[in-house]
Amino acid sequence: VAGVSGVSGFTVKTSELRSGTGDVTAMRDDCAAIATDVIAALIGMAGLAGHASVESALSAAAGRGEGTYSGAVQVYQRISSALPASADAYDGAEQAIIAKTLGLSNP
Amino acid sequence: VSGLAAPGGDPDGLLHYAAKLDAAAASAAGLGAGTRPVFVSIQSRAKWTGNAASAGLAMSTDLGQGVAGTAGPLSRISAAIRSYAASLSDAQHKVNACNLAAEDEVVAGFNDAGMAAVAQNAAGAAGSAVDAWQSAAEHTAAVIQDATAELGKVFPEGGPVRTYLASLPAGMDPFSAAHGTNGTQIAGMSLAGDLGLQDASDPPAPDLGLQDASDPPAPDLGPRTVGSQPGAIIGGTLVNVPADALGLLSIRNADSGQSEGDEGGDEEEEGDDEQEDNFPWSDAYHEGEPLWAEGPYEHPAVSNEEITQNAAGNSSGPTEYEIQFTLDHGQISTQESPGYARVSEEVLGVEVMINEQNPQESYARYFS
Repeated sequence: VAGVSGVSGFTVKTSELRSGTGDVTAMRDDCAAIATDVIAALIGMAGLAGHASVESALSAAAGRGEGTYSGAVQVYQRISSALPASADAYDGAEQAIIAKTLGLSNP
Repeated sequence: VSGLAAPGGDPDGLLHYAAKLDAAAASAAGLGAGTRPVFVSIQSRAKWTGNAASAGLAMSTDLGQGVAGTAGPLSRISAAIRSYAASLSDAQHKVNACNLAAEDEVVAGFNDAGMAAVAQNAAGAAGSAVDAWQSAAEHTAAVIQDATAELGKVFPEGGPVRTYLASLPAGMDPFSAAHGTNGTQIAGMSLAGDLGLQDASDPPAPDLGLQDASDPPAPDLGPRTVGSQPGAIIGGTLVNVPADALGLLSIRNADSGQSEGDEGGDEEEEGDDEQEDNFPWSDAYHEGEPLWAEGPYEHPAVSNEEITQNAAGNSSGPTEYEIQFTLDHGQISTQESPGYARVSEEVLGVEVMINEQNPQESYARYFS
């Protein structure tokens, strides 16, 4: 951090971490859209199969697909939310160091 | 020659959906392939290194590989369905031809030897085609079952994705036994979803380096599914939604501190270690208001067919299969509309409204 003696600061560009969340959120939304297409296709096929074994297998596939993709969506969401939180953590820590260095706090 | 019943089903419709499934599989492959590069790009732009960044990269890599891995099973399903549709179409055509030949034979008065031979040949061809269709159906079902099993393995056990999901509150892990995935039958039949409870005493799995054991609970990223509850809304049975299992949804940032800055290590002072323990993936945990009703409550008997009929006038309403899927995998609430239990499924955008007093007035619709 310029002007603060003894503190070199982090090199992490927190603004880039924050902006990165948009990229991950877009992937999360893409994943959710894919999930919708997959489940709708499998459910649609089940309704048109005309054979109990195929219907049952397709319905089970839809259920499994829902689980797999919903898990993926949750992880995309997790990564997305972690990026700005990481940026906040870096910024907060840097401010704490600055405060300590300048004697503005008494931890 | 007596009339044969043509197999049910819609070959053209199956081909239509197979094409859609192929397109979705291609999209999944693309999304999966792009996941890690996107994260690497973010890391690079932000000059973000260290353990947390590495953990995030590992999770992104596992996630991308898993999502891409869904493409193969989906493509195999669509290929099997195409083949099955061809067999179904053949059987339907040949049975119809057989029945037409039989009608011609009747018209001819059963005394036309040529007509009788045609009818007999048509009957033989139809029988063979139906047998072939039956065999194709069993083979197709087996292929789909194998693909389904593979869909459940795209994220390796012990990998970052599965470990993170396993750390979520009971029922939130879509790969756990508590997550209903076996509800495969429609109204009027036994609806044996996997509705078993996860033992609440089971300790959550560790978060594979993304979160210290002392961290607050992992974020609760969504309401629980019906299948995760100790009961089912299916077939007029009891639905248990214990108050202590309610999903708490709002997410806030927790206090967090410094960790591995590239150049900040020399300047760290006492107390930073504690901050590092919470950094940076432990940012969120759940608090807030429950979205679901406190249970249990009795769900009155009503069939999916009745629910579908109540959507009459809306020709684009949910199908019985979509309704069943929603009942198997949806989220339940009794607080949004007085007198109704609402079961909604976000992926399909379907909601099933169960009228508790007059179950015959229950209905379903798309909400998105």
